[in-house]
Amino acid sequence: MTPGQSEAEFTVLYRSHYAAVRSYASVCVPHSEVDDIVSDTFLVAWRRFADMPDDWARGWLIGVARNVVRSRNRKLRRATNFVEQLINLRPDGVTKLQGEDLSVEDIDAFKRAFGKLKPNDQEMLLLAGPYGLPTDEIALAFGVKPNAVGVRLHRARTRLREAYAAQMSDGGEAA
Amino acid sequence: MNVDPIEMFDRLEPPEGWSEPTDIDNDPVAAQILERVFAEGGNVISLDAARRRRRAIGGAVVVAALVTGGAVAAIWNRRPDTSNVVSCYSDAALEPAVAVQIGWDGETDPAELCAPEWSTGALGVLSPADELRVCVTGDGVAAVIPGGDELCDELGLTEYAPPSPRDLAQAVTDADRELREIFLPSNRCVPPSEAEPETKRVLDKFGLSGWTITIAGTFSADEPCASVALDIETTTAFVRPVRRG
Repeated sequence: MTPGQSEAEFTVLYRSHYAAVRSYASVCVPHSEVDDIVSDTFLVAWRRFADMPDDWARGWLIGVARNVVRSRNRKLRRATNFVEQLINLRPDGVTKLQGEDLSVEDIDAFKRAFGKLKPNDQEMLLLAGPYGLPTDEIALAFGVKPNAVGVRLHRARTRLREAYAAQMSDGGEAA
Repeated sequence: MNVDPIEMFDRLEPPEGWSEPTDIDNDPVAAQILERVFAEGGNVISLDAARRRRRAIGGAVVVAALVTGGAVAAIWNRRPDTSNVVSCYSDAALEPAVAVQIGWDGETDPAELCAPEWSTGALGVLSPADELRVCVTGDGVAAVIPGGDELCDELGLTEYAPPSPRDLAQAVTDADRELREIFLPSNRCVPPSEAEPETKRVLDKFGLSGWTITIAGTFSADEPCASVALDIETTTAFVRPVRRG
């Protein structure tokens, strides 16, 4: 493959998945840092273009973005609050939930419960839930086998239910 | 109301258009990023060649190969107990083929410290699928290990927790308290010759090894005793002359 051919192929991939990587980055970091995360992710992807799987490239790219975000967060000593970010980006989602008879207390208890989960659990739930990524893509993003994703998701969901129940029984005092 | 939190979460939506293709001709930011990627990423073919060359060069001196792992921990991440050394493992095992130990200030990202061991070839070749994970061994040492996302869990180690600003603030408060007790003129007049090593000892004790110690002012017969003030912004301990208490 010539360098020109590589660039053309990479550009096709970039067009297809730029929005997905950008969207993922926007849930992980403050708005001012999104361009940097997207840029660093595609820079790594370009340098590893030969290693990219033919199928599920989006999951692979999100895996690269995860590592870029983690590395940055480690340096800045901060953790991502995925659910807060998601709600900030799509406040209409919460409005919709309230419209479906969920109270503000329910939603606040959910946010606190979600914040109690390990970052990996939060992120897997995020990709499987609101983003609706298929198992193979989540497996690539997390660097695990597809059957491990099902197990981990099950555990993460159980932990979220337990944390939510604890929040509700504490009446928010556990915050 | 009885609500299933999973159902609640799954009903939230990601930002709009997240799975749609981007028209980069009409998106200046996307076009600019792609341009930067090609400019900074160079040519993929020549980069591969450069990577092969780096692998052949070899690198740092391997100091030790004795590293032990530990039991499964109940917490999911933790700070290392030993903050003056980081271990860089060659492979994802509790007893790796090679481990390089590097001096550490307790704050720098351990993965950043170990990364050159792979780029120089000292620890072999980092698989493209692997990232450098930072775990804490049963001995309380930060270990940088190449592997997948759940590596620390898989090895029965705990994930490394970087120092949080709160940890740092607490460490500074504790160090400040101890330094005040030592340097309080009414307790004892500490001469300038002792001030620096004593300050360093206290800073090291609280994991503030990377701090600078600066003598500010001139000691004289009028002001022969040392006092110490910590500045968290500049991570500097200022040793100043004061009168006898």
